[in-house]
Amino acid sequence: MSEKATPTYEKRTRSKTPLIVAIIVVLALVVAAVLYFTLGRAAAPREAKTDINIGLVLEPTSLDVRANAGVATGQILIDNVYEGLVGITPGTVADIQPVLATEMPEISDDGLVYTFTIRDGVTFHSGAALTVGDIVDSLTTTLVPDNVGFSAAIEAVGEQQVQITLEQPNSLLLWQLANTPGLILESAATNNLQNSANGTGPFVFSEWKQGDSLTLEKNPDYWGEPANVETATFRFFPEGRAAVNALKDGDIDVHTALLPPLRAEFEGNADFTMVRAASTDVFTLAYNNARAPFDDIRVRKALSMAIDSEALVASQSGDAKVLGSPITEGEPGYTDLTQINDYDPEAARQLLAEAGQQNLSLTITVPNFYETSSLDLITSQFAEIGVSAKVNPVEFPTWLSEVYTNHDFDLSYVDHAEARDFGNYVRDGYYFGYSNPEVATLYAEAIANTDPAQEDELLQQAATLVAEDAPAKWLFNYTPTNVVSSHVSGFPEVNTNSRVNLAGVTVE
Amino acid sequence: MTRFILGRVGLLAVAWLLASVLIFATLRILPGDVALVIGGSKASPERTAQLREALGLNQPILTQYFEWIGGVLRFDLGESVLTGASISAELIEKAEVTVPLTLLSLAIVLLVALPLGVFAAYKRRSAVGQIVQASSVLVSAIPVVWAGLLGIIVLSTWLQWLPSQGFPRDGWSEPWLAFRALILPALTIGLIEGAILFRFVRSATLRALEADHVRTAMSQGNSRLRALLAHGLPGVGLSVVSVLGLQAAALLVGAVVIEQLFSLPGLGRMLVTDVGNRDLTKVQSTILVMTGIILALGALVDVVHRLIDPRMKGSSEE
Repeated sequence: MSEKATPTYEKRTRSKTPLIVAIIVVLALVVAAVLYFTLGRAAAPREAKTDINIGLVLEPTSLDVRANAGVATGQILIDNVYEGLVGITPGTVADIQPVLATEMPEISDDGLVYTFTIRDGVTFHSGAALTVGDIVDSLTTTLVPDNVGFSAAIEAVGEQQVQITLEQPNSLLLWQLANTPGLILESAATNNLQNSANGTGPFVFSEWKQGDSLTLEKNPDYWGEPANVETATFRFFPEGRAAVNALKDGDIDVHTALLPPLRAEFEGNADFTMVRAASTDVFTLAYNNARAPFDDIRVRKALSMAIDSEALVASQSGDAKVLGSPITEGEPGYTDLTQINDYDPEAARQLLAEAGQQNLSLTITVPNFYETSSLDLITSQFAEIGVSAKVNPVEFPTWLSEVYTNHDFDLSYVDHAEARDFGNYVRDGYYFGYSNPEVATLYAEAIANTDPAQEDELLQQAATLVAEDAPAKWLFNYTPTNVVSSHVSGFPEVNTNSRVNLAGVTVE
Repeated sequence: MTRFILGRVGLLAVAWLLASVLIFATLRILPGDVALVIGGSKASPERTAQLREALGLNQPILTQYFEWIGGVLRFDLGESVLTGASISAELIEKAEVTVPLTLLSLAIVLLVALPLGVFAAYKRRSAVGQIVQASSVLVSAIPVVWAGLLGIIVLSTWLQWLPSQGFPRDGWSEPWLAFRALILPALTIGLIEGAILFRFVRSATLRALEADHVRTAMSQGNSRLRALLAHGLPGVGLSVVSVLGLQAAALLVGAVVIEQLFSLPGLGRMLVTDVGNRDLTKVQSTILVMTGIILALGALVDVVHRLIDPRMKGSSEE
């Protein structure tokens, strides 16, 4: 090409020094950078803090707390930003205490009319004062059959009282009021509920950086005991490993629901305590009761008996409790039913033989965000009784569509996190496809009962019947490990999968 | 030249529109929709149906497509169905992580591939050259996620040289912290993509070593090395430029995968979350913007290649 010039045969000598110098400079820069980062890291001293950083696994999909899109929204916003007339007593799973009401309601003798007196001097974060009108509007929106399973009439009595009138007594009313349906929002507010929040709680919503964090600031005008921390930042870690590193780097002070296999990372580490939070999470292996062969009770019992719950609990590094029914300890209606359809592979094989289902093969549909060690165990235990099971991990919307809506599945594995959700077993068209009229009657009687002791008794009877019918295997009650740094105290130890109440939290 | 550029831009526009149809259609195949996600595991079928109507999910597919693409053509990417936030604002925010990550990876790719590629070709018969060549095959076969995990275990957990997470919440207002958090992910992508580019560089250099003009240069008394560096490398550089267009796409995809692993609040992590939530408007707008960038880069590389390569001058318009 351009090499047409006359050859000169002159050997050019160019010094190699610049090249060598360049290489040394680059190397030196790299080494300096690495040193800078490593030393810079170690040298950062911890100052006294007034803020707390909390790691969560799941991020809210939207801040519209009443739309109930996932647990994370409620985890962050209930108690801290939004409040109801009543709430859950800290440290308990299901005890109810007054919040925006001055005391627990007066209930008429027939159990139909609840009268609440409203606290004085409560303001929303927007600055507006809380009025009975806000309460009537909020509850009229949410206390509808579509949402809570019963209807109610809500009206103001004077400036200070609100009356809720039921068509028939319902022991779940207070429970609903203490949860999402009971949250009070400002009627006149114009903020976008999907990406901002305006409540009456001890924390004011500050900022949501999607894919990263959500920040709350202390509410200086709170009506009650003010919060101890100035700023609370929730950070989201879909990867368990990243959360572990963030804890160790001091980027977060607490992480909720540590993946069970990662417990070992903090074993014997004095800088952190691991707390197993009591919860109402029930990991449920639901059978499609409406579809053959699971419409045969012998097949369902056999599958339930094939599973060794103790081994499952061990597979969760101990972050779980054995459970014999859908009702967990601390909820009304709990009784130990672990003996019903308990682990017995021999009997299970026999039941399958009777049912003529020796070569059963089935699919377990499971949302893909769960840790799968328990499923591996379940499939191998099924294999022991001659059932071959295939695990089909799907995205959550796919699960909602295929399993929850279209009932197109054999077995489904999900965490039923809600407390007091036994009603699912009597709900028409629910994805279990299970129905037992006797259970439905007992349940209706139970929730229409105004005496808690009788309610408890009736629910126990209903739960026992359900346990015997084996519409699902209640694999275990998940008690997630929260890792709490030693300079944090007062972090809630109960039900942190549903709400993380920061009222009593202090940071040194 | 003008005609070439115009033609290239026209091709770009057509490809981009085609891509928009593909993106839109592919996302509709996914089972489940945002109404189900909003309703969660409590909503009754009636409530879900109401939501679907309110969100416009019941409109004919074609109407939905034209509404979306019409907006995009007016520079309105729309809003997230779930949060109501402006998609373009969020894209810009997330790009502050993904773009620096991609650029840093690119720098590492070049730092790895160019010197090693030339070296391995030059020393192809020596043991060192062979080892370099063999390791490149190995490294380029490693999945990015796996390499990332390995990097975290070795460099972060054992040696504690680099953080495996911790991109500051305030982003680039803390430049050192932000930069630090990007090093390990960029190294991961950079090494793997670098190993791929390495093979291009090596074979291009091998060809250059045997090219007539390099041999001529040697016969003029230049050493083999000098002949290669002074006369062979310009040609190698040209082939690298043309491959880089493709590699930009791979880097961006690599960033998408790696962000989840290193909890980086970038485009990739946002996409994964949004697909999981079936926030389809956001997903398709994001992917369309990324596709546009990659297509534009490809076109740019073509043009640049043509401008700097004297051999392309006067060749027939494509």
